[in-house]
Amino acid sequence: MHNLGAYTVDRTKSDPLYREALKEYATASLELGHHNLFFPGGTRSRSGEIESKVKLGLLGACLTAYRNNLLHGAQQRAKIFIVPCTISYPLVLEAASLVRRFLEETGKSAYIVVDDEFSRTQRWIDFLRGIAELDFRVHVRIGSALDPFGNDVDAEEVSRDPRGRAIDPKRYLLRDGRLIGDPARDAEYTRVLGGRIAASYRRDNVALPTSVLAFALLELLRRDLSQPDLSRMLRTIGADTGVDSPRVVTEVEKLVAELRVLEHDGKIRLSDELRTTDGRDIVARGLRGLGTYHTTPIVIRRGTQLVVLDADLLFYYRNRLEGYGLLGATRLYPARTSP
Amino acid sequence: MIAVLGAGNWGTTLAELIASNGHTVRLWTRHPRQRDEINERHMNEGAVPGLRLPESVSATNDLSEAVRGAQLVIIVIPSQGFREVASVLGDALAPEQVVLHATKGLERESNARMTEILLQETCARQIGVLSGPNLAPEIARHSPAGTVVASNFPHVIELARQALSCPRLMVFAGDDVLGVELAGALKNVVAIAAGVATGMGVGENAKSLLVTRGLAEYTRLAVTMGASPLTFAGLAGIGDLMVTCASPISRNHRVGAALARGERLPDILAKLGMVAEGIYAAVAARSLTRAHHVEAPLLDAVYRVLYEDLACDEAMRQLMTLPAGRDVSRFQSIAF
Repeated sequence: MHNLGAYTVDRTKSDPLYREALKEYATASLELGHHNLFFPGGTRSRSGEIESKVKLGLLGACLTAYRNNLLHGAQQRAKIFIVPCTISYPLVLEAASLVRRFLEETGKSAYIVVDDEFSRTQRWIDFLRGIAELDFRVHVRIGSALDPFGNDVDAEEVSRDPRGRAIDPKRYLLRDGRLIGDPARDAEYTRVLGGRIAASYRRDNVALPTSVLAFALLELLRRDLSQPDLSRMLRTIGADTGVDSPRVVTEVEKLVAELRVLEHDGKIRLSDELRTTDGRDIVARGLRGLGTYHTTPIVIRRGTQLVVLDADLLFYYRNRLEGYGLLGATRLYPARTSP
Repeated sequence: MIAVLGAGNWGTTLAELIASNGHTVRLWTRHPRQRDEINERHMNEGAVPGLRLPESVSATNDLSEAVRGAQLVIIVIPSQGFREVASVLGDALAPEQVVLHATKGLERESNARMTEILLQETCARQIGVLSGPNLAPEIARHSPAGTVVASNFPHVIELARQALSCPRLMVFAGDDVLGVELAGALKNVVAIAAGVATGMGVGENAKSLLVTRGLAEYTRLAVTMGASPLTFAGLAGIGDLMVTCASPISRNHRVGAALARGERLPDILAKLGMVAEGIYAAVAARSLTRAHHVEAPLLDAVYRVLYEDLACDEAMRQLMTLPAGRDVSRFQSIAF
């Protein structure tokens, strides 16, 4: 990785010198015209939800590099674009440890991680075999480019305001007719950029049968159990709280109908099977995913019922569709708001 | 040069204040007659009777002319016309320009805040909000007052202070744009309730009860939406609420008083002849409290009096028979 030019970010290091050096390195490499691939979420999403907040420290390097090139006359390299990218997996290798850590943090001591087994080699092999055998597709979406101020950029590299008017981004740096650097102002510009990147993640998120089934099923269980406390509700779900299969199919169909409207409005993407097949088939595909890959199946079919064997993981896959206001469901946990 | 968009009573008053502070002001109005009156007679009798505008205030009907080259653009347009003006502004605005708005309201249907509309309609980034206990007629009479400018950009606050700060107006700074905008919009609903209390003649205790509980309700809502609770103890919060509820000249207060006399909303509005932001804010408050699962019986009662023909005395009776919880509690995040 290192020889390919990757540089690591250690989030546990809070030394200001380390952080400054890292920012300088990123800024310098951008100034010299090198492409950088960032993971600005800062960590894996533990809840399973699409990131609604990105780390602004390294992201700020884009604007700093842009400004430095303008101020130092390196006009030919002065354009810097940010291209948001999303990867949607039908199944996530470390889902169990991620969601358990999330619930631990959210519910304080209600959850204790007993065994973090997911670094074992065998798990990787199972994961890869699972992907191969189940013919699951990983969706990678490259979003549309933004300038360092969060404006859309067209194919001719012209920045556009929200109503499509051409604008000259350099002018954001003007004060009294001169280009200047102002750290407080530029940090705010970067915050807007961060918000627009997160919005783009949400639009480019690809809904998949696993999350659709998990969302519909947990919503039904939530209504059935009417337990307001999240961790208590998840602990209540077990082999005796099954849901009749036809109810799940109906709920999935309702959800998919809502998702199609959202996709039409450009607010999310759907995988092909969600566009074309019926509720029964989506449930079957979701079950194949949720029921076969993880050590304990998350959901299984028992008679006419669907039974949940791992509510935490069901919660994790469901959360990929959190925040869209689907099925009139309220948020199950507080949103992470912008810094 | 500073541009003021909107020549109503607050816009005209601000233009006079800024010009008296030594700045050149370009005041935009839709109406050619108003423009001529300002440019030829230096008065705007329809908006602020008797106020003499300095020569450095010039009026125009051309929004892009008003905005061109302005260091600071101040928008003083009623909330329901805001998007239309913002979209025209988007044609004229350059990325480096600073925009401040002094509109206390939320957009109908979308519940969008005015800074959100600016971000949706223009290229502007350096934006802020001006709010506080500022009855335009008093400021036009040169009585002392205080106001808040909230922005995440220090430069916006600096420019606003240069323009507005003077011995008759103290300009305080803030960075809770969301809180200041919500406080400015939602206090108008409580002002209607205060007007109802005045009109019903139920006394000062009852009025204080309604106003305080109303403040608690919209603070809870705003905090759930991400605002800082401290904003509501400041000029844009309790400050603005006090003046709106105490003053019988406030429009929302007048709407409430007329409702208490049993008058119907359309007749009241016809008589008032001006915009009362509270009647829109009551709709916004209802949909926001529902969307965020915040209990707000007082805000809800105002909505039902306005739009569902609930009689004021019945509303009062219903509120008084609710179980009383804790007076002051820590704000809860969403439990479920």
